[in-house]
Amino acid sequence: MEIFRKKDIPWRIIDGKALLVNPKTSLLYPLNETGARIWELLDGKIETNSIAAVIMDEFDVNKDEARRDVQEFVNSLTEAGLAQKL
Amino acid sequence: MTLLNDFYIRAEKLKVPLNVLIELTQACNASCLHCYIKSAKEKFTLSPDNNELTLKQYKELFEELAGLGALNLIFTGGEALLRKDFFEIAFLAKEMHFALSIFSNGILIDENISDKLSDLQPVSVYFSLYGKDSLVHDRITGADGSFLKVCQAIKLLKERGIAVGLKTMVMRDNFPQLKEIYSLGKESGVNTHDFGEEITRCIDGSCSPQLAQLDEKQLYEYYRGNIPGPFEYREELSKEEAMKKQLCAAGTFGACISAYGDIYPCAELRVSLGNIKRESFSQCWKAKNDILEELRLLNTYGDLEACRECRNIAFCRRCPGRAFSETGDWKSCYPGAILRSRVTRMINSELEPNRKEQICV
Repeated sequence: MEIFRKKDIPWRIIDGKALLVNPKTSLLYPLNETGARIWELLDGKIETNSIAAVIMDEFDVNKDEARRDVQEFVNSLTEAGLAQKL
Repeated sequence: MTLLNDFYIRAEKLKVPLNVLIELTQACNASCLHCYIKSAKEKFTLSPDNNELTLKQYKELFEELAGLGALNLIFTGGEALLRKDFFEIAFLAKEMHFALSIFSNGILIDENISDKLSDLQPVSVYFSLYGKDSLVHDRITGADGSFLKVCQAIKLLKERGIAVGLKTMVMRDNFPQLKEIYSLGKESGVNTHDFGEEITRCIDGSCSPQLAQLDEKQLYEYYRGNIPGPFEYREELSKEEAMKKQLCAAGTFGACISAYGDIYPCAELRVSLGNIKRESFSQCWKAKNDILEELRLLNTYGDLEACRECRNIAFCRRCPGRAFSETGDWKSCYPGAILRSRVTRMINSELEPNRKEQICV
């Protein structure tokens, strides 16, 4: 499944951590390193399974954990109106 | 530590200018009594002049700021919407994923501008509201019809789901209407309504805006009153605790860029760090500069000699910009800080629980 960051979401990554802003609600979404890396990869060109593979490599987690974490995380981003499915 | 705090701490450590105020133009269609940009003799300049930054210069600036990690851009003026290329500039910033806020007097906002603002999706648009009616609001702005226009602007933006904030400078002319102004904000359904009363001198050094400032008696009544909220008694901090109070983050988290490209630590602290027409923002922001180094090194009230011996340190909310404009040194104490901390202390003392008993004892 391909998911991408909504293009109108303001965001920055600083020193590995990210801060996202939902302009419709003014809510702030700070992300840890893993979340920030997933967010960075959500350009709509990579499937979530491939993102999980990157996370597995870079953050020393096993495949199942990585897949579950990525899926849960993108679901919450979608629910918050920050990302959407292609 | 929360994730958000962690983000801010990292940003501070890396000296990321997270919040940048951009004065897009000095032109303005109002002539507010308390305006810090221009003194009364120069007000009402409706056309941006040729020396103001161009769209191309803003593009380069935004690319650089995004690279440094800046997130929040606040567009102000003068009246920012007087720039014919306002939306080109703003959409450029949006494409680079900045969170945008706009300060405006609302005069130019009609259906068409409101639709464009809706497409832009700023985090918030802030309007100045100075009176409960045309009589007072228009007298303060110097622009006939500005009250009706700002009320209309609030309505148009609310209809489009844009977050609207109000900013009210409390001064001699509108102090008697304070309660009604507060109620008007509530009835308008705005998201935030900020009140302030400390007026800064003009950037040309003129004190004329401060003539509109509350006198000491009014200041006491304002602090002691219920708007925007009642004064809450707080136990006085010990000297040691008060010395740990944080100073403002000018020059660390925040910067200001004038319509002509001058970079300042904040809109009120007009010490030029350079000009983006001559050098890059990064060069100025990272340069070895005495004032920037001091601002970043001196973080607490206890770091300032002027504050260490002050008996009102616990109640002071000093502003480095006002200190600079009134004394020439951002670290100095200044009359406005002395007055406000003294009045706050007096009211706090009046509201101290069991005060009577203590006096009797």
